Amino acid sequence: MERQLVSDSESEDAGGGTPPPIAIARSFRDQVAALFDLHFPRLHRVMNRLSGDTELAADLAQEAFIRLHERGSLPDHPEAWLISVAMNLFRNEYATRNRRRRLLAMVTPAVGEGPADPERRRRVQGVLEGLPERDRQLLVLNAEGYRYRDLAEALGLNEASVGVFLARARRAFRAAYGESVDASG
Amino acid sequence: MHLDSDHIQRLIDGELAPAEARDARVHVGVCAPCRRLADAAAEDAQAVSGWLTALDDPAPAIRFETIATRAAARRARWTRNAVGWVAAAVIATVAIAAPGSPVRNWMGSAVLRVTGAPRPSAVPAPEPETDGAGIAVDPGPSFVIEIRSHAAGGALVVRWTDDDQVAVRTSRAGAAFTSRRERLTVALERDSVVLEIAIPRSAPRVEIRSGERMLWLGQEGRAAAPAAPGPDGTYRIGIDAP
Repeated sequence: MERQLVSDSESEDAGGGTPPPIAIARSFRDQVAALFDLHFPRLHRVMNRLSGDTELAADLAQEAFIRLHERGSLPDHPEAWLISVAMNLFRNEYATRNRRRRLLAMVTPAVGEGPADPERRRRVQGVLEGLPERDRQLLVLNAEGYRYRDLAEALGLNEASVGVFLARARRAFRAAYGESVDASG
Repeated sequence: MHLDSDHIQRLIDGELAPAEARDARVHVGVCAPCRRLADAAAEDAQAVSGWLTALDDPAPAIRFETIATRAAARRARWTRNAVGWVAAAVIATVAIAAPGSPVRNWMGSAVLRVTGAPRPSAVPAPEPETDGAGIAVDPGPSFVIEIRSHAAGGALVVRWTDDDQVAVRTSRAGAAFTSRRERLTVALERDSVVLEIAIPRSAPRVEIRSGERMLWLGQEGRAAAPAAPGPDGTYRIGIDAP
């Protein structure tokens, strides 16, 4: 079943309670545009956290929205669909990216400019990359406020298992982060 | 009764239904072990969320129009490609199906080059003629087959048979048969006609003549011919126009 977004007027009480709320279907383009405004920054943040590469994250998030636009209709759960597409794109990109990074590391010296706290960033990135893929994805998506239902759909999990998986992943992250801090003195 | 781990996670993630969440909060308020678990889980969640912000970069300023434009461009490119493929398929179909088109030969040659199979002759082999004719007659006590040749290069192939009748046939057009009592006349009208003649072993006497010349004589299974039979037992006799 395809989902149709409705305009904001749908949720407004028409008053008197007599006429039912009228769903005013917007054009598909408008629906995608609304989703883009709502979810692009969030999707970019998720992909940026997972990839550690803001340009790649922007490309992945854009590509997910382009594919949604090309699809011509909205899926049942657009947020989960977008995550799923972006994750798959990232998975395909991951091997290439690692290969490229190894090559660049051989020829390019590290530059000083970076985020405000590069040491903390490096540590968080290292801890995150040390976790299993499913844990990484769960943590990042959950931290962005995605619902269990969307996590389950996007990652192919049973929704009833999401809470337990998340608890384990958080504990694992905390433990690894603590070890990382201890190791650095 | 304590809350299980999944219940606690759902509580701190706001995934419980309102009534369930209310009950869970009441329970956590009075149950120290569950409160400790819930506090620890909330602390984990908060810590992880906080640490992850270290990875954040500002989102690029991308407008939706960029997305729409790129999607439209990709769709247009796809459409162009699809149109191109369809046009190519139509042209190829016409080129192959058109009468006298050399494309089929080219394709055949290309396939043969790839597969290494022998190339067929450019000139098709002549179709075997199927308009031959024949006749079978009872030889009686004495029978004469008279060959009247008006062409060159004809030949007889004579053999014995266990049948009761004399059978004469040709595999291609060019022979006319006239049968009378104790005599069969075969007129050869075309060059290189080969007559196959089967003579019953039981026939008392069968003579094959061309004008005044006796070509072959058979009497009760014994033959007199200008040459010995071949390995297959047949007598091959040339006929020339008089």
